This record gives sequence, structure tokens and C-alpha cells, in this order.
Amino acid sequence: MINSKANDGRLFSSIEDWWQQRFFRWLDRKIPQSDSYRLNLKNLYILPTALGWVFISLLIVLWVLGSNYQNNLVLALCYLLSSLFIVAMHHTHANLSGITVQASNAKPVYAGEEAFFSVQLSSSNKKGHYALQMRWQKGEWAIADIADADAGDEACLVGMRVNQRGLHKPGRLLIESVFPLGLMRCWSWLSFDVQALVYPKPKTVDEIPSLCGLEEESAPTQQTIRGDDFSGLRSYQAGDSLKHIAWKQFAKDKGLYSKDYQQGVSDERSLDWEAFRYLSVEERISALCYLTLHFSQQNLAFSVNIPGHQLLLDRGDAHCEKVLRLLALLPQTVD
Amino acid sequence: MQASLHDKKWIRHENLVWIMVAQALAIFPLLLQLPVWLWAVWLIAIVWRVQIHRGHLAFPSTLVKAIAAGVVVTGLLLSFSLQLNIHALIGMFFCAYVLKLIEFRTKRDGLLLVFFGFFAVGAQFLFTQSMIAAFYGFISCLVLVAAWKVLYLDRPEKISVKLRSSFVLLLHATPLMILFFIVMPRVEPLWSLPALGSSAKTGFSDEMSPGDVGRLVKSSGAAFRVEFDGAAPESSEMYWRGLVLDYFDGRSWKVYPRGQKVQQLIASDSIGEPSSHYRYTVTMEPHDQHWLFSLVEPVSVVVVGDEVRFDQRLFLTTKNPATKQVQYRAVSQLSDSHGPQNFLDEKTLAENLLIPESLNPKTQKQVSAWLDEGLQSSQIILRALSLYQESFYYTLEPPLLGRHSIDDFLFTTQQGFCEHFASSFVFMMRAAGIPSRVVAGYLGGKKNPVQNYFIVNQSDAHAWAEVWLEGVGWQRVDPTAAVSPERVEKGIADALSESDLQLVGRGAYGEFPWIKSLRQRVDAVGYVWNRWVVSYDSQSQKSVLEKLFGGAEPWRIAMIVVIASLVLGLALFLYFYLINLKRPLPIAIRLIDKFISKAESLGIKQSQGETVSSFARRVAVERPELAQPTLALAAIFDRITYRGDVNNLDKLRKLVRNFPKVTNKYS
Repeated sequence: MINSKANDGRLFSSIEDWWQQRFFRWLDRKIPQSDSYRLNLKNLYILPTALGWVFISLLIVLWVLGSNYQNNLVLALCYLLSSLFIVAMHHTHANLSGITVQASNAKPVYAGEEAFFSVQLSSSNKKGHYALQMRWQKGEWAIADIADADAGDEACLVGMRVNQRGLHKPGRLLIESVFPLGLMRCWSWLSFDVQALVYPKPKTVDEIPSLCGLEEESAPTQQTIRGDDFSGLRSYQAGDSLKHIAWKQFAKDKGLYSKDYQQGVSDERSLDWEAFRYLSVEERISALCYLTLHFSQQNLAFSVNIPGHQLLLDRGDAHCEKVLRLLALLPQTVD
Repeated sequence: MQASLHDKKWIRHENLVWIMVAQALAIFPLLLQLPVWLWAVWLIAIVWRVQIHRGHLAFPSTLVKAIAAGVVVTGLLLSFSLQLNIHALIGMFFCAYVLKLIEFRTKRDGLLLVFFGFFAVGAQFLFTQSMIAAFYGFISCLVLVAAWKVLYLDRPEKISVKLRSSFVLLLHATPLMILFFIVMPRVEPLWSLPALGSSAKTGFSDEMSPGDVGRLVKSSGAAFRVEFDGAAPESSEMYWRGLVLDYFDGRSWKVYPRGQKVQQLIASDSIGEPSSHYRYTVTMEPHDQHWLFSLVEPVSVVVVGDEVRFDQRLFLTTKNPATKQVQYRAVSQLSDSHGPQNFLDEKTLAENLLIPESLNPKTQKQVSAWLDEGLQSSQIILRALSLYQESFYYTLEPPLLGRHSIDDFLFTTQQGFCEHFASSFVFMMRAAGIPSRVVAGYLGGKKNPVQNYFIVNQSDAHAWAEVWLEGVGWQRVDPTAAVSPERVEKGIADALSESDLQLVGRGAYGEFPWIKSLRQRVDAVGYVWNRWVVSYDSQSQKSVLEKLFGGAEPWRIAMIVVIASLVLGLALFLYFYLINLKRPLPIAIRLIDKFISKAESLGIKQSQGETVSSFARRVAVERPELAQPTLALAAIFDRITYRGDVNNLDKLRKLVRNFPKVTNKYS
């Protein structure tokens, strides 16, 4: 039962996806990508809402009542409300028509957070535009009004949750409104060349490998062996001391590793790709992200040593941003 | 799905107030028609909801709601003694509407309440269709639309602004509504619905006892209004024939129940245009009875949405009682006599000669004295009429009559009203063996000069006689004319004495001229409303469409509607286009388009999606000599579009006009 339901759901959503893809491909020809749009007859669509259909059924009831009782005032009311429906259609369309829409890149966020793209709405229409709803293809709704055309443009943040690091394109922007009466829905799908830089999700590292440098305050979980500096993990090889086995990682079913200790590690901090050999690529990146933030918070200088990227010792926000960007854009398969 | 984004959103305080006010307006006319205890239901619902709003009460549970619904439904069933008439149904609707208020908390509930409100406005029109009701209904709609819009508006605005924007919506909707109203085809009732209950109405009942017409004359109000196509007959000729009373039980005159012999009148289309035909439209006030009034002899009577029947007596009835205003078109051939001229069937003959033998012996004796003199029928008629001329007195307040009412009237009191004269006259005729009957209706009509129609008031109620003479048919005889010719010639006002005039309804006579003129105007407005709005039916529609468009065929109407909407659309488009022309942004965009095409003619193409400023930068790079005006131009354009800086529009225009030229100013 449950399985079949789940399958149905998947089937429907896949049909929906398929339709949406087709629709957007058609839309790409109809409304090509642009920096700014002026909403007008060419790019606005309008159809009755569910409420609109309920209203139509009210009209039918009134019409039947008026006809059956031969009551002209009931019929007049029915016709007044029918005309109201048509007028509402024009008002709903006019509420979106004439707006100039522009979008700009979102500020960088970490994966799993919401990226907010700024959408600028401007219009010279004195009457204003109300209850405008916007969302990205798979994003959250945002609501805006342009009340006074003289006050300039209205900037509105439209967010969407991003789960993957990298450069994120939000897809098309849906802007719609059912104002003033909710009978009609007028909408448009706009395509902007905007993106959000998504940093990896920081992954807390229990102990900072010595390969990466010294830790100022010793973490409580850190195991120190006198005279030796913990420098990282390596795959267990026959003959390694049992004392050096990384039991914690073993308990997490990550395989058998030995803790690697090196003598005479310099106090220079570095983000080293090799320090998290026991983790998957994405987890390594997340861990490195954590360390980057960790070092930057304490304003420590650190260098970077990642396949294809070597950065010299540096500190400060610019350095931090540079590193985070580098981590965000790292290809998924390294080595 | 997207549209229902906020349907589950909780409402704000403001929404509650708007919905409550709109509801109060919408249900007030219904409350006047429904059992009084429903006021209490409404007040309880309001207090309950306000207490919920103030946090003193919780929203009701399903159980509480079910109990409340059960209580009001039981109450309604008891109030209407288990009858499911339209009042009861509207009562049910009313309770649903009012109780919904208690659980009103989301936007969706609000929308439902607004829609219920529109339905309530429609329901009130079932009870009254006056112009005031229509105006009130419009105001209700205005507030309902405002309340509706407020549900979608999240920003604070003044009440007047909200009402105004609602008014604008309705105002925009009005022309289309009028078009719909005029051209939408009227259909016959689709199925029968529970009939409207009726309140007491004035008019004739189906029997007439001494004093009945007098009472009617004293009651106020109009019986019907008549508009003639073309010339109208003299008002002394306007005998509006209604009831044919041919059974006398010694006190009252009644209509022989003779429903079987029902015929359909010929359709008006098949009637020629003889000059003696009068065509007229009657707008009759509701009187809860089946009969119609017409001039003799009706050739055709058409009521839209109902069936007109007439029997041998030319007693016109409709299938349904006139519980609301009825409009009918009729054609009459004016004549004093009608019906079979040479032969009256036995049954009719017997019916129209029947009198109670034992009553009114003095009258019967008098008549047999005439018969003994060997008088002919026509001579007997003249003799009877001359009897009235001797010493009879026409008054609204006659003395009471005893068991032998006609004897008392003819030989003792000699004071009476038209019904006394008609009744005693027919009695004498029947005693003399002349078939005769009493006819009740109205006589005359006052012309309203404002709209050129005649108003026939209840005070014009009249009764007269019809006698059957061989070779003539049914001949109208008005014995009242014998005693009071003024009644026929000039109308009731001139026939009555000063003291009687006080009794006639609403003191309509002898008033100040300006009051009279004002009254006529008000009546004319009401008449036009009833004639063209309330009673606008497929017949009126046909004549209006023929007058307006030269025909009422569907294709013609469709064509008119299409052309009208095209013209309207074009007008709107031009209007908005002209308005747009004056707006700074479209002007700036047009100017910048001109600049781009000028630049493209220099060989610098704008790429897809490129902004004006980046394009301008490219132009500046490729043509350094044009850099300064180009960059200035782009900067002004940006200021106009994004900051609404209108002041530099002229500068932009100048720059674009001069664009490829290298002016000294910039070089």
C-alpha cells in the first residue's frame, strides 16, 4: 500500500517535472533571458483561480434564481457581478502590467541556507501595484507592494533554499498576483542571469589534524601523545600500533585508520587536502570550510594546499572569502 | 493552488469589522421579512464573535456548532410550521450566513461570507424590487466588494479610499452590466421553485358584497398603470373590465366557478391593424389573484412567463396569482357590446337569469308591473335607469341594508355606491327575464403628463352591469351614470361630496399644485423603473432591440455585442495609450530605442539582454568622439528609470536628437 502510494507520488511528480521542463523549454523561446523585463501583454498570462470558479458557480445560482422567479433585479445583480468578474480580470492584469523587474545576484550563503536574490520592481504607474507575490522555481514566496511610483523602486528579497555548494542558478522567477479580488491569477515566469555563490556547509571537526597546524586552546576531545603531534589519519596498515588506531572513525563505520603522528610540525597553519583523507570529497570540503571559518574567526593566518590551488599564508576577510569561494567552486571529483 | 497561498491565513481585526458591517447591510432587508427571533440569532452571533475576538471565548467546537445549527433549524421549522416555502429556505440561508460569522477566522471564511452576502442581496430582491431596494442593494454590494478587497490588501488605507476603489470597480462593471441586462436572452423558468409567500394586498376579491367596492375606493395606492401605443380612448370610455360576477346569493355577487372552459387568446402578431384597435401595456400591482383587467373587447393578452386564459364571459385569468407586479400587453377592440349576438346557450341563459325567488319581493313586484305594461327589454332598461334619476344619491357612506338588501336600497335608503346600483339593476333585469350580470373593475385613469401613461388607482374601482340583448350581444350598462354622470365623465373626485372626499385614500384630490406635480414626477420615475427594469421581459426586450438595432435575431445581437466590445476595447486602448504617452518612463524608453537604432546604424549592435548603460559604454569605447554624449545619455536614462527623475527628460530628448553629431559642447 504505502509503497504503491509512494510510487504514484513519484510518478505524478515525474510527470509534473516533465511537463514543467517542456513548459520552460517553450517559455525559453517565448520569454528569453534578459536583465530587465517590463511586464506587458507579451509576457503576462491570466486565468481564473479556484475562487474564480466558485464565484462563477455563484453567478450561475443567481442566474437560475433570477430566471426562475422572473426577477429582474436578481438577474441585474448576476450581471453586475459577471461584469465585476471581467473588470477584475483587467484590474488584475493592470496590477502587474507596466512593472519593470530586475534581479541581482544573491549574497553568498552556506549550503543548506536560504539564498536571497534582490528583485527590483519599479513602475511609473501612479495607481501602484499591490500584493505582488514572487518566488523562484523551487523557492519560498515573497510579497511586495509598489504603493507610490514616485518613491522609486521597490527592492524585495526573494529567497530559495540551496543545498549544494557551488554557483547556484535559481531558475525562473515567478511573479504573480490575484489582486484585487482573487478571482483571476495573472503571472509571468522571468529568466534572469543571476546566481548565488554557495559555500560548502561547514562540518565541525572534532580534532584539528596537526597537518593543519597547532590549536591554541586544546580541544577536550583531542588526544595528545607526548612529544608527538597529531598530523592526520592514514589507512591502517598491518603493524600499526593499536594505540594509534582511530577508534572513533572505526566506530562510525568509516573504516580502519591509524592516527599519523609527525615530529616537529611548524606552528604555521595550513588547510591541507591530505589532512582529511578518511573523509569523502564533500565532507573534506565541508571540514576545510569549517577550519577556514575557525581560523578566520580567531584572525589567524593560514595557507591553503588543495589540489590545483596553493595559497600563501594570509589572513583577513578577503583571504577568507577567497578560500571559501575556492572551496565552493572545487570540482566534485578531485585527484 | 498558488492562489490559495494565503487562503488559510488568519484574518485581521480590520477584516472582521468590514465583514460584519457588510453582513449587517446585506441581511437587514431579509430580517424585515423573516421571523422576529432571527434578530436575536444575529445579535448573539455578533456578540459571540466579538467575545472571541477579545479573547473571552474560544472558537466553537464542532459539537457546539452542531447544537447551534440544530437549534436554529428546529426554530425555523417550528416558525414555518414545517412548510418548506421560500421564506423558510431564506431563513435557513440567513442562519447559515449569520452563524458562519462565529467560526470566521481565515481568509477563506471571509471570502465565503462575502459570497453569502451577494446571495443575501439577491434574496432581498425576491421580496421587493423597488428602486430604493435596488439602490440599497447597490450600496450593499459596494461595501461587500470593499470588504472583499480588504481581505487581499495587507497595507493600511483610509476607509474612504477603500470604498472609493470598490466604487470604481463597480462603476467599471456598470456599463457591461447594462449591456448584459438589455441583450441577454430571458428564459422561461427552468423549474418550479417554492412560491413566494404573500402579504395582504389590496384589490377585488372573488365576490362582492354591499360596501366592498366602497372600501376599495377608500384604500390608497394604484391598481395598475397603462401605457397606450398611440392614441388613448377617452377616460369615460376606459372601463377596465375585471371580474364577471354572475351568481347572486341574495347578498353577494360571485363568479361562477367555470374553470373548465379555458381557451387561449390569439397571439398578438396575427392581429391586423384596424384603427379601432387599442394596443396597450398594463403594469399591474400585485393583488394575489388570478384575474387581469382589460378594455372590452380584448383581442389578445400576453403575459410573459405565464399563461392567459379566458372563458366565454371574457373573464381573463392567468395561471399563477399576481404575487408580484405583472406586466401584460393587450390589444382591445373598443365597443360597448361583445359576445354572441343572436343566441345564448341554455346554461348561460339560466345562470344569468337566476335570482333567489324569496328575496326582495318589492323589487320583483315592481318589475312584474313593468312587464305587465308590456314593455320591451330596452324599455325596461330605460325605465330602471330612470328610476335612479329620480331621487337617488351617490355616496361612499350608504346606510346599512337589511335582509332584502335590494328592496331596502331601492325603496328605503336610496343612497349607495356603484355596487349598489349595479347590483340592484342586474337584479331587476334578471327579474324581468333579461340575462344580465355584474362586472367589477375600474373606470377611468389619470394621465401622468411626465411619462404619458395613465394611472388607475384603487379609488377608481367601479362596478357596472352587462345585459344580453338579442341582436346586440352583451351590452354594457352603467347605472351609476344615471345617478351621477360626473363619475363617468370626470372621475370619482368630481362625483363625490366634500365629506366623502375626505374618505378617499391618501387625500389625492384638491392638493397643492406643486405637490401634485411632485407626486406625478415621483410616480413617473417609479413607473419607468417598473416598466423598463422590473418588468423588462422577452417582449420588452424584443421591442427595445428592434428599436435600437432594428431586429432581435441572435446573429444581430452577437454582432452588436462583438462590435460594441471592439469599439470599447479600442477606446480603452487609445485612452491608456494616450495616458502612457504622457508618462516619463515610456517616453524615455522610446527615446532610448531611438538612440539604440541610431547607434546600430553606426555599426554597433546591441546584444541580447544587454543593458543600456553597458551598451553605452561599448559605444563610448568604439567611438571615443561620441563617448561624452553617449555616457551622459545613458546616465540620464538610468536616473529616469530607476529613480523616477523626470526633470531631465528634455535633456535626454536633446541628446538623442543630436546623437551621432559631434557637437562643440562635448568635443
